[in-house]
Amino acid sequence: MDIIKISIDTLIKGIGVLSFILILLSVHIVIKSSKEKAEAGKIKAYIQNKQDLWYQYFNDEIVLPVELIPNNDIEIKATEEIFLAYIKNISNSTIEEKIRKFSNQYLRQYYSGFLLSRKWSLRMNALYRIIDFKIDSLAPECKKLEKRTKLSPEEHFQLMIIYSMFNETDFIKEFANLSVRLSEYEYKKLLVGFKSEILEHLMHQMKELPMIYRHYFIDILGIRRELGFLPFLEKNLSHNNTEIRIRSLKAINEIGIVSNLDKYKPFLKASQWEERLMLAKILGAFPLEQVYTYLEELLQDENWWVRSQAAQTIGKSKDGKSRLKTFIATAQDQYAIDMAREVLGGEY
Amino acid sequence: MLVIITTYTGMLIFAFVELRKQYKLDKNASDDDYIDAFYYKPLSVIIPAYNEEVGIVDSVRSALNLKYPQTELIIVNDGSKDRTQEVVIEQFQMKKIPKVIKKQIRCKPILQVYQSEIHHNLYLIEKENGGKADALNAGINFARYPYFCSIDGDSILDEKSLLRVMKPIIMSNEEVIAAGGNVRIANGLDVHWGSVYQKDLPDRPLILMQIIEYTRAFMMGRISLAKFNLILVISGAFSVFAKKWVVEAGGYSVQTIGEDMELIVKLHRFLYDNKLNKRIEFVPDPVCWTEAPETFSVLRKQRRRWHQGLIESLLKHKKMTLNPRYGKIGMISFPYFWVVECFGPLIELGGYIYIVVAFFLGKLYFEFAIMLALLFILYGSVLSAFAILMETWSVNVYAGIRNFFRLIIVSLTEVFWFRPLTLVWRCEAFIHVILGRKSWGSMDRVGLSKKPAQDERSNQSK
Amino acid sequence: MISKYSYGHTVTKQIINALKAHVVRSRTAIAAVFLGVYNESEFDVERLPETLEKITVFLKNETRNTDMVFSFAGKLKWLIILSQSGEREATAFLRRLYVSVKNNDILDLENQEILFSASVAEIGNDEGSFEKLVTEGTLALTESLSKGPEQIEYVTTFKKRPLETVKVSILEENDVFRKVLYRTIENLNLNNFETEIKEFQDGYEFLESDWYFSSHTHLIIMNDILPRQSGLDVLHKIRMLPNNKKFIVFMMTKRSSEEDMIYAYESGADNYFIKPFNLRLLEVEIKRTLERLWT
Repeated sequence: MDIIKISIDTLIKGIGVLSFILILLSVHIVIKSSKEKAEAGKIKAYIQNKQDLWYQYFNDEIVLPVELIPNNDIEIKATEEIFLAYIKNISNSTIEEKIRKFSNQYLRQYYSGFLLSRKWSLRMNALYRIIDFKIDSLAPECKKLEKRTKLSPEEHFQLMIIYSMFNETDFIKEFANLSVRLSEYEYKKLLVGFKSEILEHLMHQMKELPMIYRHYFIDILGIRRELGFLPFLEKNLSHNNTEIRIRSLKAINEIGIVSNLDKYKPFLKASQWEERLMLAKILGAFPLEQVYTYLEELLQDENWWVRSQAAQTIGKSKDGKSRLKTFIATAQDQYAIDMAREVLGGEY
Repeated sequence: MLVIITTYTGMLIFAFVELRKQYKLDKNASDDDYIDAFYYKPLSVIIPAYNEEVGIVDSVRSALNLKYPQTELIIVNDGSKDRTQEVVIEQFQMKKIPKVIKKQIRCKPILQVYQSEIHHNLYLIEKENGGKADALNAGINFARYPYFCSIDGDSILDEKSLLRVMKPIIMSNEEVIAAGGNVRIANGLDVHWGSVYQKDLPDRPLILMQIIEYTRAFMMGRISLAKFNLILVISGAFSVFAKKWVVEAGGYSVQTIGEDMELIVKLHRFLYDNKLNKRIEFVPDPVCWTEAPETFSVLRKQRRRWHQGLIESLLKHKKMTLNPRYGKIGMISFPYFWVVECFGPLIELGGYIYIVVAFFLGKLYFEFAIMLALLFILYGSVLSAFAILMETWSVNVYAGIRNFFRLIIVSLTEVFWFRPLTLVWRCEAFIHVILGRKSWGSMDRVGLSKKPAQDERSNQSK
Repeated sequence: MISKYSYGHTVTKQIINALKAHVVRSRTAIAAVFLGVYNESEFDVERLPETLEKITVFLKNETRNTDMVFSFAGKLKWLIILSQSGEREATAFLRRLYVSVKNNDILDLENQEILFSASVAEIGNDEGSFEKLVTEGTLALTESLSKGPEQIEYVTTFKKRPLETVKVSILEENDVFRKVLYRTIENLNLNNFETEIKEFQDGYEFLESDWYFSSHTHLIIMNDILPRQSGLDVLHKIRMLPNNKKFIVFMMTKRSSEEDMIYAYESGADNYFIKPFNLRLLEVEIKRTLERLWT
């Protein structure tokens, strides 16, 4: 039974040690949390005091007063908060420029310290702020960061944004033959901010891009409503890749300018339902008499989504509701009739 | 016993490392980035409700105030017998609309669909009673967006929770097909119109104990399991799924009690069967507040139900156990859940009984009993206290030094009353499984909103 | 209203006072035109009443039936009240009149040419007595007549519009930005309005207050998503109120979803700003909307 005795001894000791650590840590946390509380109070008070001055400065009522230059970390954090409220809510190039200048001058030191930090979270925070406040003087430091530490994908992405902001030409070269794999969200987020010329540049390189990036590229043309790319998108309608065709249809629909019906007719017999769905959407751009026969065919499609969309498109058109009523009265296809009923809503 | 303690300690340390990484990260910064993203995935929020007249309005309000680019809200009234439906219709000015529902998963007939006149993206589905799983399936059928999130009719979502829980899905290029958030206990919070104000602790030790329990489960289980894609439970109170995969896997299972856990297991199985490179994640910071039982009898029912759900889910997919075809899930997760989570209570309860019996059986057994008791203290109380410590350090939800010490002290008492009680209740589940009993798990709600809750508290304050 | 002429002084006074009260309520100015004949001396004194009558009929035909023509007994002078008109409209009316009197034959005044001159008083408030109006109007008319034919003199004494109080509510969660909005609106240079601004953290706080019950024109600038009761809740609630026309609702949002935007407009929002937006744009939109209240 000696083994058990020893175990009991060690166990008691172990619990004792752990309890001791527990007490120590508790004390640490208590101190820390009261410190944080005091800090939060100070930040709030600082914002209260200074926000009017900032308002006046941003609205060109006064020149930058000396008391707005932060003296310590708490004041910097408060200033940060004020800046963020402006940047996230107000678009005004003068204010942005003022924030940029101020940050480059007075906050540069603070953030460059964070960039050097070993903690991932602090580096991330610094990167976010460099982007928000456009602290371009820290761009070289960011570049160095890439060589110095092993970076997480999140940091890589933030760096890409920074490069795209501060060094466009280099960035485009890098972007065309990207080594890191970006997620859909990241890729699109970058593309959305680009100038049209850069997109055009990318369009010519389309064939060299990986297929998945080509998809994103087409999506973005739709999101940005890039009129100039309409011929390019229409050309893609006969692409042999289904996904490219579907996304091009979607983008064209987003742009909303559809002229030549003949270009879209073939999709009536498309094998993929998504293509027929997009067709049902696009047909809404034409006068109903011109396309009703096609829509009626789609209303009786084998796919639920296609039927639903066709009914909606008809319902939205002028005289569409009466057409649907006639359809309900004469048609055989119960699925299609249900769909028409839904669109008619309370009117039927 | 030692194995369990080592596992838990290991998980705790691991969680610490993970949390430390994100320590002080300004999460709001990235949130803002996402909110204006028009290419964010639209999402349907499904709120199944069965006799939830007290809590439903707060739940819906919190869901309406979510910071997310595009959502629709679907309340599924699963044939409630109380005024759930009337309350919702009145509060949100719902009007009947005709709607064709695409039946992708089987569910009980839908009687009527309503749409709010105030919020165009708020719907109410009235259907025949069929249980929570059935209600969720109906909601999935109705949903028109590619992702859905299910929250309980008595839970409240933090305004940024959806944004954050969707983040891994977006960032992983949709490799993550389901993600769960952290669930916290809402009792004692000052909730007003679906928004959480003062975060204070309730007075009752029973609820304090549950808060500790949730925290510990989170610190010692979820974070580490999720990291290695081993997770078998993401809370049913708050999780997001890619609709496509759930539909392909057949939706929620109507036969099992723990439909949320069963779905996760089923998804894992589906992924392995079809050799898909997809993952399920747990995200620590999106928070969902839920109401915890305030009395022993309700708590007992809840625990029994949970454990019953666990056993049934494991039994239903028992083929996966130690089956190399199911990779890590089969080889690690399943054994872990069988031994630690499922039969653990039986073993532990045995230990407690042994200690009691040993007192009557003389010296020889006595020493072993002391050792066992010490182990229990180490495992139950000390680890719990550490979990609280970590929680306070990393997020500090319940601000204030007084609250912190209250939690620590209550956590140290766990082994002496709460632990044995829950063990007994969980063991009762085995009997229920054998007898095959089922229920919706109705629970007497107090409601989270300020006024009724306050009255309740003042009446019962000691 | 049917145009009347040759009424007694008291009746005229009553009518004009009633019109002036209407000016403030409906936020539409009226113009008082004092018209005289420049070459009055060329007319036969014997036939003056007949001439007066003829010209009055002519003027009646030239005006809309919401306008009124009063003649001054025994003189070739008229007071014409143009409803819903300011100086600009009155000037245009006179220019037309000066031309049409030349090629009009109903007048049949034995080839006697008529040359008018006039003074215009825009009435934008209900202060200032009728007597003062007549005195200043005739004084200006005399001056106009002394300058020559087809002249127009302006009386600006009655033009000033009353200062109207507009309530402004700002519903925004972020403290700093809310203050910025407050300052911006406070500093707005509005001509006929003074603002009374209140801030709210969310829709609930706003709806619980009795702030929105008064009959003042009420501009609400709010975020779409707010804790407790959201902007859409507020919008729905106030648009259900009986006198909801007094509310002007500007919504702000972070979500650039067209669907939401369309829905907000359908629910009764008057303007929709996607954050981040330019404050100058907000300023001009507020100015334009308020200034349009006066027609």
